[in-house]
Amino acid sequence: MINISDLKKSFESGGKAATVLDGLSIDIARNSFFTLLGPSGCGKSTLLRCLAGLEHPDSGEISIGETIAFSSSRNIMVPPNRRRIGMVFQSYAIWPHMTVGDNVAFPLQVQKQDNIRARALQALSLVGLEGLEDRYASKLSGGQQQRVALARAIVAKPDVLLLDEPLSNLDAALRDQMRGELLNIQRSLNVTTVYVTHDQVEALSLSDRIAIMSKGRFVEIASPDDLYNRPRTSFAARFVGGANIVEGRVADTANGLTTVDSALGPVATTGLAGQPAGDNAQLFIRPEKVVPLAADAKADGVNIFNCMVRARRFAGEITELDLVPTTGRNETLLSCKARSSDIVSLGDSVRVRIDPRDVHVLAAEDA
Amino acid sequence: MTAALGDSTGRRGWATRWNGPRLGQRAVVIALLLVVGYLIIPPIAALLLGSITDTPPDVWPNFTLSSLYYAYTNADHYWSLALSLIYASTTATCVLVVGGFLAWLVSRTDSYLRHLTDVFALAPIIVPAVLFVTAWLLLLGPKGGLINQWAMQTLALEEPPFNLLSLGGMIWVGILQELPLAFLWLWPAFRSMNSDLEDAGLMAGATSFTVIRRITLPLLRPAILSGWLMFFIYSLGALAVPLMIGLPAGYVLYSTEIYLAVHRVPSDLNLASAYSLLLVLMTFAGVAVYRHATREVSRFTTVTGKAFNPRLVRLGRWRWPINLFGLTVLFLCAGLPILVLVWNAFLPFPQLPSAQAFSLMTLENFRAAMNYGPAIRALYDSIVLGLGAGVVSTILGCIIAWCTLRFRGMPYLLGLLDQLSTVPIAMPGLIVGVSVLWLYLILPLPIYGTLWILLIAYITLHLPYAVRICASSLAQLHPELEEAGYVSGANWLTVFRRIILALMAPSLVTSVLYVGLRSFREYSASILLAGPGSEVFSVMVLDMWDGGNLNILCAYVTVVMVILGTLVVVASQLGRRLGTSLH
Repeated sequence: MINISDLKKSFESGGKAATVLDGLSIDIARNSFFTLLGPSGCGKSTLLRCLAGLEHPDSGEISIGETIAFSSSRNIMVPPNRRRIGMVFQSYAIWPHMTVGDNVAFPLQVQKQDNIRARALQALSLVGLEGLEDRYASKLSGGQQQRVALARAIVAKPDVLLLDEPLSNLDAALRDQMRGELLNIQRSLNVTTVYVTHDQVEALSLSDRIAIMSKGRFVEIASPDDLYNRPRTSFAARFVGGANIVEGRVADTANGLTTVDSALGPVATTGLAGQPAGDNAQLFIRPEKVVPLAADAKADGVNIFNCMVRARRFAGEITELDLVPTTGRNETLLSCKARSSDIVSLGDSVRVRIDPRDVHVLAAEDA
Repeated sequence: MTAALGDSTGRRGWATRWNGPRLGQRAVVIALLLVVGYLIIPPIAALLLGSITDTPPDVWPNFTLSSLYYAYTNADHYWSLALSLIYASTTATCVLVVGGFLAWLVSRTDSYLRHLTDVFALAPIIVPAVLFVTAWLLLLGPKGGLINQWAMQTLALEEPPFNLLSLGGMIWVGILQELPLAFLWLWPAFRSMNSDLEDAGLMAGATSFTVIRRITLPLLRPAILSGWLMFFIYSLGALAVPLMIGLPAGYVLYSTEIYLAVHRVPSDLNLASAYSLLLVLMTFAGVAVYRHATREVSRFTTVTGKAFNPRLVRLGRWRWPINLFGLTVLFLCAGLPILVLVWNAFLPFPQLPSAQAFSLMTLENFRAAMNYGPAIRALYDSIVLGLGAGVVSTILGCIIAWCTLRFRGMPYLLGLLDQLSTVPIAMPGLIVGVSVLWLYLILPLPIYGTLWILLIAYITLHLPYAVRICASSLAQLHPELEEAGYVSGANWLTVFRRIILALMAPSLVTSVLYVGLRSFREYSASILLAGPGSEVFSVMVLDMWDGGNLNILCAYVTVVMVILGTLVVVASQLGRRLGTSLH
């Protein structure tokens, strides 16, 4: 549906050109929910604005559906108002001099479509704002403004829906609620959606596919499941869900387990089968897979580490622990999410076990 | 409500701690009201008194309606009023259309003009109205106008093709002179409007034209409406164009009538007051309309507080025609007038550039200008007055802005303060001149004919600008910055001194500079209030103009433009250093 190839864009800042989009290429499937995820300044909003036609890329090509929206080689730049795109801005951009109804009816009016009033009301009811059409937008709460912006974006049945961090200005409870409604609306309209966020929970729960961006490049593009459970880069592993990254050298392989010598000491993993000894390896372990053992538990076997609790943060259901292994080099920190019922105190010694199946191997070097 | 709070807490014994600052704040607000009230109300009252008496200010008044009757039954009066209305409404409309277009080009497109915003800001400052009119008379005057000479030579015409001494000529000069000011009025409005609002219109499928018509213009309505009123009233009260172009051309405008009533021998101040009354009423009506248009401020708050970079519209093949248009406008507003003034400063008489002209070039005019009556002293006095008015207005403006934005619990007092301090924004200098003149001829304070009366008039006229500059700077400071001060144990005076003043320092410099320069170029009030021994720069210029010493005048103003330019550069450097030292 959306095809981007070798898109480049740089901004002039203080006499120097800063590259914001560094040769991006991607295909986004029809009717899918696609998310651009990354830290601020990674270029995700710029990419979205290039799709919208609000930014003019330096080079490359963008096609939406059958039409080429931008092509530097063919000198094509379809203006934003001809792209049949709906967009929700981060600031909502609700026009303060119009009523809610006028805001939502505006796309239908300027596109000379029929049945304006009925369809505007229908869009408002879809986002749960029946009866507010005569209010001025400045009298609405943040959550209601957000809904108006969404209604305005979808009312003219666009081919593509673009959302620029739409939930970032809402409070936590409202954000969770809106997340669910957003997904329902997207599914019921069956509209190809591109969503920009820096929030991994939003990205994981909403998306069909996620592109992780950093410094103007795609670091990794995958489904939420793959991204969380089988990330290929340490950047993705850290950015989504947090991770302990352990670097070391392959020592030997026996009984389907490969041992890697690392700062933690020897770490066994089910991955890396057949890797020759002496190769570098990058491993990652999710904090919740680092399991503290009860003091009297008899445990032997692989991946048992004696640690000292350096910091402890209670977070409700779980408690976050910063552990320093007493084996291995003791400046290495291991973060651990333990069930809060496993009471440990600061300075305690604790043994942790990591299942070799939870020690994953990062395949790709970071860009 | 405040009293009730005082009672309930008073019994608990820590009332003094809470009422202390409240009382202090109230005292400050009342003191401000007295000062601002004194600047505005007594002069207007004196003006009223003048219009319903037939006695000069210094004798016991004899009440009569004869002045009013004469003024408002006179057919000439209505003719000059009609002329003034035509002149002012045409000028105001044209400058807002062209100025708005320029502001849009600069803030929303990729035209080359966006690198030239400083020129718009500088032009009206270093080329005051009197000089601007002089320059255009030198260019398009019917007899010796340089463009006319050139056109007659090259096209072999018998008659000069242009005659600036006409209604069209007045409007032409009026527009060019106010254009940079109109640009500066609308440009901030564009800059503070989140361009997401316009982008959302494009995403909805609207064309750029529809977006401008249905989103940009309605959102800018308050700025446009208030701007139109400002320029309308400004043009009604302006004197330079009506006196220097209108009068020789045989057009007597409303402001000219007031000026003539004061300056004819014997002067008829009662008639001048009667004429002025209509402009005062228009001023108040203007302020009321402005307040009505902006009453629902929230519908027009488009500032999100978040920094944003507006998307620049690509002009494509229109880019160079539009650049050319903008550069031409700039050249007509700034480049050409400055060039013609400087060129003539070095010549014995106005003439076109030629080999002969170059051989005649001389510094004689500069020597003559320096020896021309009180020219040097007038320049010095103008600078001192400008600085004085700048400092006093800024101190007042800064405290007023802080009180109205931050104090709580006395809505009526603060509302009154806010309204009173914005009244002079729509008061023509001419009116302030006439009314201040009246007041100090009545009061036993012997400041008529000294620089003090000019200082008071300048502060009255320019206080609203100081308040505006300080308020817009203060509005960007999050209240939590001050609250952090209170929480640390500072009282409100310390918070004001250590936090507010420190953070606002760059804006305060801007405010002193802006008010100072406006005072320096002020003309309409000065010409009524300056007497022998208290001449100021703009009055000197008119004196030289009247005496026909055009090339000496050019030498004089060339020196002045160099001084002003240097001042602006030094001050903006100072402001920048203060600004960076905070980061």
